[in-house]
Amino acid sequence: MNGSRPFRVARVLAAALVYGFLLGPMLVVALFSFSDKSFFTFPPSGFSLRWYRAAWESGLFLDPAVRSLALAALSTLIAAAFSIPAALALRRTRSPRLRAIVEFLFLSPLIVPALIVGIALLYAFNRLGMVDTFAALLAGHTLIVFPFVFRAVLTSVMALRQEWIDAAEILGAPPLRSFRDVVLPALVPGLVSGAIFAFIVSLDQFTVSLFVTQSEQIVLPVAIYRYLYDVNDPVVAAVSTVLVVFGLLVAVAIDRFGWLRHLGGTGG
Amino acid sequence: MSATASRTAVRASARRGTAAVWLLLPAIVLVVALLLVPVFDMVVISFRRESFGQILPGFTLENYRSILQGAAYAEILLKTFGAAAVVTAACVVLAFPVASLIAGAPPRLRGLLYFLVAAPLLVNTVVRTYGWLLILGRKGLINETLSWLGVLQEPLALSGNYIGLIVGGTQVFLPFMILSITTSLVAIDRRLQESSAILGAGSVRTFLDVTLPLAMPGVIAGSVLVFSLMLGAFVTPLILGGTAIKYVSVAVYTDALVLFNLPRATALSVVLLVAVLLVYAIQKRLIRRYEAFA
Repeated sequence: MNGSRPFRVARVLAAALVYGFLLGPMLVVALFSFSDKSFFTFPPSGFSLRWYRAAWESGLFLDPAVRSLALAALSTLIAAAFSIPAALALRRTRSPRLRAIVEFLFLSPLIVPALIVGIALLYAFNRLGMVDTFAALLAGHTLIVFPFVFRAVLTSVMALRQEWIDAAEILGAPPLRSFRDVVLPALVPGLVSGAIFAFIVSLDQFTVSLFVTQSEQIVLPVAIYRYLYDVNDPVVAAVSTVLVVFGLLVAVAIDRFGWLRHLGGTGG
Repeated sequence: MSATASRTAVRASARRGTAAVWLLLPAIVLVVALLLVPVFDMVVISFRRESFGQILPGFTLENYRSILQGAAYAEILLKTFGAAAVVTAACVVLAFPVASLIAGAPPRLRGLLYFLVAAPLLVNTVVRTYGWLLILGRKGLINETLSWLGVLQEPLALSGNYIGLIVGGTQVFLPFMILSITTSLVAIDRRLQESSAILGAGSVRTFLDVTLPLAMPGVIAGSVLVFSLMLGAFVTPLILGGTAIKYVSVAVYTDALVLFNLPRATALSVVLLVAVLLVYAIQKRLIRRYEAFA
């Protein structure tokens, strides 16, 4: 990794530029949100919080924000409730072939582009008369976040020690008690990290939400896109800055627990 | 073991088997009812005709013929694959300096450098893409700065076209590439690079002949991920490319929600899905061959 001095200097400079490229857009959004003009000026001038007030008073973002948070929480909970029994059952499956097939099935929502999930669900919900309902959103989001929770829980389940479960059984614990006192606590780390990613993925999900809703059940990213399309003033920047800060706070929190490393396989 | 004992064992294992099915059932129903069946139905209507927004019964290959033979759709497919390839290549080039910096950094600094790469992944994609609109737009940061400097008379068209799409897509997916290549670089035995230097190879030569080949698994995995994500990407093309752009996802959106031509939209979706699945299948083979070789 060392190499000659000019090589190293060039590498550090190049890396600094790439970091600027990655983080710059978010900085620009934050700066623009404090502008006192409704358009971009260079050099920047003035400072105001009027766009934050306007965003709040417009009433266009609060409902979608609450809906997005509720959706993320509920879809994550349902995905967790489905993941735990499924992962425990897979652990006991003797046939590696069967296990591979079921695992592939459960991770398949990761491979199929959100666009295709969106259009397939649009058609399905349309026939059921479910388009633009919260139930449709919840079903779509649960499907999208399920692989994230399942993968994390499965890792914890595979690390379970059979001796602990056997010991609980020998000591006379009924299955439910052994589940509550032995199995569940061992799954907590996987469950929490999987749940956090699922929550973030649901909040981020734009495509599926756009396809299965019309006007009643708008979620936050769609509300931002619509405002951007119709008005495009720094109100979007103000709302976006709140989301940038939120994302970075979550990043700091999960970095504390060393979970940021699991992010490599996320997608969509 | 006596016959009764073995029979009891068999029964117990059968009971375990049924229990396992019940435990798996909710998750299986979730994926089958919300993914497999809807996607199957989507494939079915891609073989149907439509008229004024109504789907008519009967089998036709017309939708696929218009996609695979029509010049307009050939252009859409070509430009989509082209843009995804350019974004992937840009990600590989931009990822290397950062990945090698992270891999070579002392542990404390490594944590921070890693954090700065991963953190953008937790920020909403619509928001990150909006940031590029502020930078690349007609009255965006670049145009305003250049015209303030007196360099420009007319604003540059940096968004609403492929430039915006490629820049935005690269930024959105770059963290995946960096994380993937970093994983490969961290695993490299440093002594190999030291030996190369001792044997008289320069930094560039060492990079090309030692580091790069050993980093290939990370490059392949990252490229497959970025390429397939970009093929199906919708947010960045919609916001930075605009609806006038020729991109598969945008065409599907326009066909389905603006023109209400669901059969054609679904046929195009099937083509996209097949492309993405092919990319994954090729990756499996590539990785296997690479592991056999290494």
